[in-house]
Amino acid sequence: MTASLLLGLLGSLGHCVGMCSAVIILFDRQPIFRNKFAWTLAHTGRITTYSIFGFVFGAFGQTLWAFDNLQAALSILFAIIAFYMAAAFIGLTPSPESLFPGLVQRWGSAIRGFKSASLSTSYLLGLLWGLLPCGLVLTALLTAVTSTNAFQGALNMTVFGIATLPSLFAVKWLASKSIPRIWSRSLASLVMMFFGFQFAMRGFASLGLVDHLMLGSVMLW
Amino acid sequence: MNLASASSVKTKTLTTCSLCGLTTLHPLTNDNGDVFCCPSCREVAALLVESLAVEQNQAQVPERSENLILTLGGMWCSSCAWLVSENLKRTKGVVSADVSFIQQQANITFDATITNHQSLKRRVRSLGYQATLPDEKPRDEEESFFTRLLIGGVMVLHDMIVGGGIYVRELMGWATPETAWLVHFFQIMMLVSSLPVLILLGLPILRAGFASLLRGQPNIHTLIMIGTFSAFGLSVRNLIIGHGGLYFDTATMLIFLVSIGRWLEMQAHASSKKAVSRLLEKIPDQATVVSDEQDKVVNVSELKPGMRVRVRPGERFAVDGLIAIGEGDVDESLLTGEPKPVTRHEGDKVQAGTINLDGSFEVIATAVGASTTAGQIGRLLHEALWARSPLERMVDKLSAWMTPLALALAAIAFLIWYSIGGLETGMLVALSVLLIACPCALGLATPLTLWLSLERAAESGVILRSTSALERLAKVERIFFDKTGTLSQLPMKVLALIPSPSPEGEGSPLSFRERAGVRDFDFLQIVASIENESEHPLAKAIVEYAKTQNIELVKPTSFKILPALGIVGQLPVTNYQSPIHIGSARLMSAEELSMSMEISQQAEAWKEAGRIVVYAGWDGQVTGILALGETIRAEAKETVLQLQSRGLELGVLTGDEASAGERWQKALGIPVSAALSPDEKMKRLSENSAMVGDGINDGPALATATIGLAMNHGTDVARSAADVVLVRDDLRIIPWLIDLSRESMKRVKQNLGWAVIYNLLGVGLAMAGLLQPVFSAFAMVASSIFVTTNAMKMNKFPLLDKDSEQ
Repeated sequence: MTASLLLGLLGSLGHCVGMCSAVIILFDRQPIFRNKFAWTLAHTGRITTYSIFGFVFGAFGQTLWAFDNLQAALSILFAIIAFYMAAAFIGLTPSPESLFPGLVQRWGSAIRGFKSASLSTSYLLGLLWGLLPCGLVLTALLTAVTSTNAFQGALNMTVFGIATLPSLFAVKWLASKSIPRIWSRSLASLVMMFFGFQFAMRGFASLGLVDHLMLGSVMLW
Repeated sequence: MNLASASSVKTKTLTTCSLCGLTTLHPLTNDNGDVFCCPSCREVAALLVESLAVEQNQAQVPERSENLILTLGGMWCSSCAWLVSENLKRTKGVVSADVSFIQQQANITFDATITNHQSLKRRVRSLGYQATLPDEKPRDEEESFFTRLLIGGVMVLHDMIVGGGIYVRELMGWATPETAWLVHFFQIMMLVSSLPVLILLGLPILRAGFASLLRGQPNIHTLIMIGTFSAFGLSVRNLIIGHGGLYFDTATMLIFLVSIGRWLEMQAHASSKKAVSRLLEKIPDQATVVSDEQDKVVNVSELKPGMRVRVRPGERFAVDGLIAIGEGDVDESLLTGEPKPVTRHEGDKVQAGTINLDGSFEVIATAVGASTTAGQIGRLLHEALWARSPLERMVDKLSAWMTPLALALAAIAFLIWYSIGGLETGMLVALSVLLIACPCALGLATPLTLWLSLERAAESGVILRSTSALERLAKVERIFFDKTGTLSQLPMKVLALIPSPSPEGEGSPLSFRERAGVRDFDFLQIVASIENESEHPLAKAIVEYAKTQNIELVKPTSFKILPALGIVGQLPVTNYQSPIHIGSARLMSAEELSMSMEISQQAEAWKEAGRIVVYAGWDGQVTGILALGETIRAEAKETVLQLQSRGLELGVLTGDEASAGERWQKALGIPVSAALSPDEKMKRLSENSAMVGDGINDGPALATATIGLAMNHGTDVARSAADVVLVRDDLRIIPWLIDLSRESMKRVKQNLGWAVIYNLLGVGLAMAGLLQPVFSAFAMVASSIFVTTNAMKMNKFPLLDKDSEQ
């Protein structure tokens, strides 16, 4: 849970300012979002999506982890994915969403279906917002898988969603600051690399390559 | 990482995402060739572009669009207005809906093919608010509310007595099992009698509270709603399960007290609105139009500029206009606050709403209805009453911030006391906290103080264009005056004349008596009698001057006006019949009247001093000259002293030449900066300085100053660039105004200080569990009454002393 909290809080700083600020502007243009309550609903919707995915991926993890010999491989695979994300965050590798272009387009047409937003549709819009393919969310889902429990996974993702709120609320303020974008992105990237390291350690530990004591100290950190 | 990306530049091109700004090595492009870092960014950008396009299309209005203004009632706060507006906007066929809480009106544009007036009205009504169409008579909201308040009051009293009885029974140890059924009966009675209160008075609170919650801006109504309805719910639960305290009396009492507060607020609104309607009501509904065949009585709405209107003695003028025929005294106190009647002649201006005391006039209308001076003042006053000043906005913000805080504190109190004393204790303490923390004292008292001050000023003949003008006036440290028309008097006055009416008698070598041979007549009498036939402003000034000298005027036997030169006439004095010429130097030389060295020298000297010289001559020579010019206002010196005693720095800024400036400096004892261009005037204005000037010529300086005060002589009120328009032609209004503004700011600060201390103490006590909810409610209302009374004292602020005139 600490992992997803950190990921949400720190990762979002660099990441959400980019794309989600545009989503916020998009929502902001709709009259209904002059209402703060609508924003609350939309964020609730977004977090709902995350928790549902957390549940599904947690359950998925639960099944996978039942196979003992898969654990090490999965952990190292996740470590690789996390390192890939870290690179993608600073533009070194293609963004992971590029792998599913059709998915993104479908998402766009779904959003288009909600032009006349009302209070109830603002929640639905929030649900859709949560579906927006985003590297940070994908990484967070990895932690849900490694939690190896459906409920724990849902909880992890909920915490992650809540942890992204400060950055999202501060998006307009952050965007107005002339902090070099690369710094905040590097921060997000560093967070990713830390997760990658953690996954790798876990994998190595289950392979017996690393002392469990050392693993413990890493996890505690 | 920078290194890494820098090194890769060599091999791949580095591009920046046009949405999120990420520098990427793997760009994607859309159809327009814009670069994106990822498909998500590309999709979001597409959506943004589409939403922009949609917005532009929405601006189109359907073909059969119609406009409707609904008068609304029952809105308690701006959140109610928001609720109505949101609902109307979602109604089919409505193109746009603009609801103003301030004006209690909804401005709706709708497609007439889809919906109509009646269904729109029904739509608003379905929300529980009153709505009236323009052609219907609006319901008296205050009266119906008062009826509800009365019924509610009786029910609350009933609850209190029954509740008190049950309480006393337990306190005195009379509680026996035999009478328990009776207690239960009375408890049900309490439930029954609190229902009407909840419906009549509680529903509007519930609606307002719910609307503000929906809007995401919880306000005091939200607090009260949560407080009372949870107390009621708890009581119903306890009644059903058969044990635990009942708080019907507390809940209903609270609703009742809050409603009293609301009623007080309605009263205050009504009294501030009165200031506006006072002006507009005074314009008569009907007017008599003079026409060729027969006079016709018409509605004022049918009047148009250019029409001739007859005004009989005792009637009010229905239009702004010029007097065509007639003469008489007019009471203009409605506009100027000046109780002394003014005599108005043919050609003078009169204003709608003023009273014709004894004249019989025919007036040619120059402005009717809302464009009259009274109408303009009314509109300005209305705008000023509703425009929020920075101070009020600050208070609003504070209130908005205090409500969530109060909710949070109540929640904390609930949690603490729930863990100590169980659910019921927790609820009660939370209720007390909610009640005592209501920031209504803040929200009500500040605007009320400012409104009353504005109204008071209007009564004295000063129009403040906004409540923020009061705030700025109170801060003023320096006051600069313009000279002409402000410190000086208009119209012009006779300053000196030769021959002077010397008190020494006939010894003067220039005494005209010897030369003219008209022993019974004074020089001034001759000149004034002839000039009485002229309409020229200079002539009028001379006649006016002669009247102040108690000189009797004689009707000339003949006279002729010489355009641009002057006037020539004869008087039935002696058998001496030489024509008397009065006018310019040109007229004198044209008539070959000789001028003595002394007179011509004096005339030159006067001209240099910036005065206008009028010559008079007969019998072959120029017999005398008169100097006319602006004079210092009678009350100027007094005003200067009054302002100085208030610690204000004074100065005069004038475009006049330096010599005139020095003269004024001597006369008034304040520094005069002369020969200034309008730009230079503006530069002299430092921070916290007020500029007093004539509204139109001094426009730039008035607008630049912290606050501009315009002497407008009762006309062109709306066009003025000033924040304050002095309709009353009296400088002493300025020190009065400074006093008024300081006084009202003092009261505002007192009220704010009180509210802060009171709320801090009250919340502390309530959280400690030392306040019963009923006492909390009482304390809240007591505080509201305290600040309202303090604000109402502005109503007693003395008007500018009317008797000290002259």
